[in-house]
Amino acid sequence: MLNLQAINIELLKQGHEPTFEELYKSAYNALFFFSFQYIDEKPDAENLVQETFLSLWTNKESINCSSSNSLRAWLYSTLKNKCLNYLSKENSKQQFNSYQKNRHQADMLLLGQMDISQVTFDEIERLLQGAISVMPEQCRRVFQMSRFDYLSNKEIADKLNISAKAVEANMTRALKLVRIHLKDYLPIAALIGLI
Amino acid sequence: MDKTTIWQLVTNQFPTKKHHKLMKDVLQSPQLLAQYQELKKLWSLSAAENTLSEPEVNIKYQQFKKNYQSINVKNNWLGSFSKYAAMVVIMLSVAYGLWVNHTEKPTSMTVTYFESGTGSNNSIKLADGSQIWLNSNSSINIQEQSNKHIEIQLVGEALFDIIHNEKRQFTVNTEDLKIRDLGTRFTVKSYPNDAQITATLVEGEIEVSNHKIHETLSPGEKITYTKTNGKYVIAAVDTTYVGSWKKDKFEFIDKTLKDIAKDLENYYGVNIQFENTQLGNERFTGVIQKRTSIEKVMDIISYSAGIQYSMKETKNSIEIMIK
Repeated sequence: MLNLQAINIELLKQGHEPTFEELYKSAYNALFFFSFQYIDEKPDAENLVQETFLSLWTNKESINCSSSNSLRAWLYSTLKNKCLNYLSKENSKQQFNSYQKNRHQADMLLLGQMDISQVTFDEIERLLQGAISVMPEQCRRVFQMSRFDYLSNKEIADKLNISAKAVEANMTRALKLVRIHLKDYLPIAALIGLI
Repeated sequence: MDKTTIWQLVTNQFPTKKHHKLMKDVLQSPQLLAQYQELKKLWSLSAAENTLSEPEVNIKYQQFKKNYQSINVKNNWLGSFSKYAAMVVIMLSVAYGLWVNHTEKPTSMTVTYFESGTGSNNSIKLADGSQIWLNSNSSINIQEQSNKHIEIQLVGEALFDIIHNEKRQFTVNTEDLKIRDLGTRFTVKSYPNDAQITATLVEGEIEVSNHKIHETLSPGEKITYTKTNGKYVIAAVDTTYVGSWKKDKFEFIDKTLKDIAKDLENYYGVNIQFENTQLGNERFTGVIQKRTSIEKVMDIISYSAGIQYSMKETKNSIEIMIK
């Protein structure tokens, strides 16, 4: 899941280029993953992402974002609209067969209704937090270091002063707990990279 | 259809045929479609896979910055980035009336410039339906004069699919060679750092010339011109894979590793060295998807060609050493 908590939004608004660079690098893959689910042509899917970044850079002073969550919502909403425009333009222009047209229409409907408010992500996070809260302490620490601090097993082992094997065992246990907790939310479990 | 099947559909886990069949069912049932859309929404927001490695994202950012700056400099740019990634299009439409014959429309000249950065290839369609694909790190300047004369300046590599028009002249100028088209499909490769310029004809007829040469190519022929001594050879080639770069594939047909390295350098913006220069002359044949990361491409080549390589990322570039 795209996490922009490390981004200093105030600096970004002031046009601080290194901050923008950091944002670009943390968000590129997530945004491309999104557009490529809807746009089949890879160069076009990439281009919509580049346009989204360009749009952010040109409007940086005026964007109405105060938190990393609203910045994330801004990026996805902008990209979503670009995808929608692209699909409606392409679908009327090119010679697609009826199957492709139907698929595009289903995607356009989906994108048109998609409300990328904070709620979507908050919900995902709330579910994850719920799963974490039932974990035993060591298990939880290992899980958080791995998923949120992006530490490697070896780094975690060094920090907690335990063996790499113990880290692995705790991770397996944590994932199992998350899966049980989220069993009704199969896609959400995959969403946070657990399946 | 159960939720798991829809989930697998969303995450692309079926072969194409089965995927199509299931998708048709989904599209026909409002309930299934609603479930499909819910799951697809979550999946698309999940960022579950990283398409590009960290160094590749760095390269993308450098491109973004470069394009952004070039847009800033040329303050007469149109809208946003134009149709394709890493491509800048500037169109100047100058109408200069040569009102000699008042019944004729004024002669107008259009100049179109576009370029593609590292790791991308772009295409442009001319008014008459002719199409030009540009490979990575290439640029093209098109001067159109009232459809009577099209003159192109090319740096890099491009594939031309030109609709024949007897009343119009179509010329591609490269560093040393002039290629005149007589209604055809052909590629021209002329990168400044390459020692040679090549042109391969797939269909139709082209004329290749400079102050010394004047040759006409038939389909399936390729001319290779060496810049330093002005010598050239014309040979028959297999044109099956000509222009396969525009399809997001690398074509390596009996190519030396040295030449392959050049193609990879152009596309990925990496730097490739040979520890043992002899290795550069080894030949290799294969087609690789461009969606693949540079690491994967190197893995495939090193596995197939039986070579070793190491990769090192410095601040602005990726260095690859082939052993």
